Amino acid sequence: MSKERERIEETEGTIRSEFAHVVQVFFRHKLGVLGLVMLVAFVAIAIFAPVVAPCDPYEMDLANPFLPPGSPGHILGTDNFGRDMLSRLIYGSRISLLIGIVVVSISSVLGSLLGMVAGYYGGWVDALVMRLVEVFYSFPFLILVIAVMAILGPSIFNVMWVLGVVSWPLYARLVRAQVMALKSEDFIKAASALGCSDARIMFRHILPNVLTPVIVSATLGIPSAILSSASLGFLGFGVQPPTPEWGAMVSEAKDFMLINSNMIIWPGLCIFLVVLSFNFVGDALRDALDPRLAKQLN
Amino acid sequence: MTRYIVRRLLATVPVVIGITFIVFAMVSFAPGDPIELMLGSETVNPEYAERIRIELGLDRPWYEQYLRYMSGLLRGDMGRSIVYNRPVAGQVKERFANTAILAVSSAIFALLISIPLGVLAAAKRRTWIDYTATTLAMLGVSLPGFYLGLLLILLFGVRLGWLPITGMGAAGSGAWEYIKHLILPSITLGSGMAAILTRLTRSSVLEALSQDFVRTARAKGVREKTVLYKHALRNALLPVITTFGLQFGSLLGGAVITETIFSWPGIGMLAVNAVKQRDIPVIQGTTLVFALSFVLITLIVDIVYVFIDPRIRYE
Repeated sequence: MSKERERIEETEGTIRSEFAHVVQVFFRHKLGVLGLVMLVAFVAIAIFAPVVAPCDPYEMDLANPFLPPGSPGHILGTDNFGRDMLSRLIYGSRISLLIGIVVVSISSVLGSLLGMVAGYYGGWVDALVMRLVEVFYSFPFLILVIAVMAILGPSIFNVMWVLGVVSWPLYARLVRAQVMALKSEDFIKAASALGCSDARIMFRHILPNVLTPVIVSATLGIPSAILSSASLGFLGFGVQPPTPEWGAMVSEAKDFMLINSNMIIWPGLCIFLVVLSFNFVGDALRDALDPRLAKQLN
Repeated sequence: MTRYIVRRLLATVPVVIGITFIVFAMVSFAPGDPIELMLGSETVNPEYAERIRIELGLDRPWYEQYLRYMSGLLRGDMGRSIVYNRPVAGQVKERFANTAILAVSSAIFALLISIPLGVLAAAKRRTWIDYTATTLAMLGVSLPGFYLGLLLILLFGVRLGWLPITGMGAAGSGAWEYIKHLILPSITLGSGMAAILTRLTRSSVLEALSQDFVRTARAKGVREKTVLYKHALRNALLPVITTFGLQFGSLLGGAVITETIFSWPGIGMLAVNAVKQRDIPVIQGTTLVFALSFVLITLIVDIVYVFIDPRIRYE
């Protein structure tokens, strides 16, 4: 019904900017809005962690371990060292969000650059990049990451750059396909005839046109980066305790799961919710930015 | 068709070479001294370090090392475990079947859930069935595998006491006992794939249903059920099959986590222990086996594809 009206309005000459349209479609997506609200909450909590957290996340209280939720001063209880669960979760949001964003920044920039060069120049450059993509794709992702982490040693810095470097092929493939399609368009030929340099054509003329799918993939790439880093933390190969990383917290908690399940439930739930909210937003964004696809799916 | 298959086989050759090279290079191009990396930074007896260095051929130039590594692999030699001082190939062989069984049963679980659910969601579009299916799928995609595994243990293992939570059961305790041990790990490992394939099946069936051949079939008066299963589903399954092959990679990655949680003695657990002990030949061996298994699966999927989609045959 609303689609119908929209079409009429457009034919009547109500010209709206593309951005306004994207925003409108996005906000029609209930789960997308829910995801956005959750995400804003997570980001706010992460930024204001020192203000929001009731306690120091590292402060131990060995006299009071495994307090149940609802204990005075510890709303979600305490862990095996008597550290305040809620405060650790709050500080943990900083780590997960940071990892997600940094990883996707590395992989999307690296992948887009390689994909752009491969698609634009073609020939042996393209062949080389695509063979590399194939080889990277033929490793089960987590296995490769674990192997590299094993060599480099666990640290938050290594988690970020290893996950970033290993996930570039997705973006390379995406951008390459788009660039190859754009290359034969008239406006690119015109730019080239005007004597624009290759770099200028790539970054001024092609890049803005390939950004949309990259943004969608990047939004959906953040939750998978968070999941991967949590998995690494869980296996003990990622961010190390006592840093309150959620995956590492679940890992610590599993040793006590028979006596205290409280320690597992909360950090796992946080990972789940933050990943879910990114997925909601990513889906809605894809629908908003790619109406052709959205029409097919809904 | 033969030409397509041959071409597909030839295309895997450079990929396999690339894989072996990356696995090989993990150590050789890693920063720092590989010997120190393996033995830890504690004070190592320099004579011992030197002996291992020569034993592993690390004193030779890298291309020579790579050729040596490759010729070893071709003979089925993946080096020796530093911790256990036994051939890696033997360790992998002992455990490979366990991982294969777990992966296959998880994949079967995923397919049994996702395809019916996806088709149903598409057929009953915009009803509560559709919304339930899509919501479940979204939750499944977002749930970390290790969290799901631990929750299942807490619920079915600890609280209800219905299912065993570790290992594979004692040898000779019968098939049912074995299957019982396989249930929770398979659900843990398969649910992510189930979620992704449900979403894909749904959208793929919806797309097929909007095509002209479906309209034609409906216009001819074909029954809706026949339209759905014979016309739409058949076409819709093609992307599902492709994604199934690609998702097998995440399944193998997830196996590492699932095996750790349930103490399932497969190569994933071998890999995790190797990483903890810095047993680099074992890390290399398990990584290689995982990658080659994945290549094999994608190869099989691609060949199966030819039989299902006649368009490729006549290309």
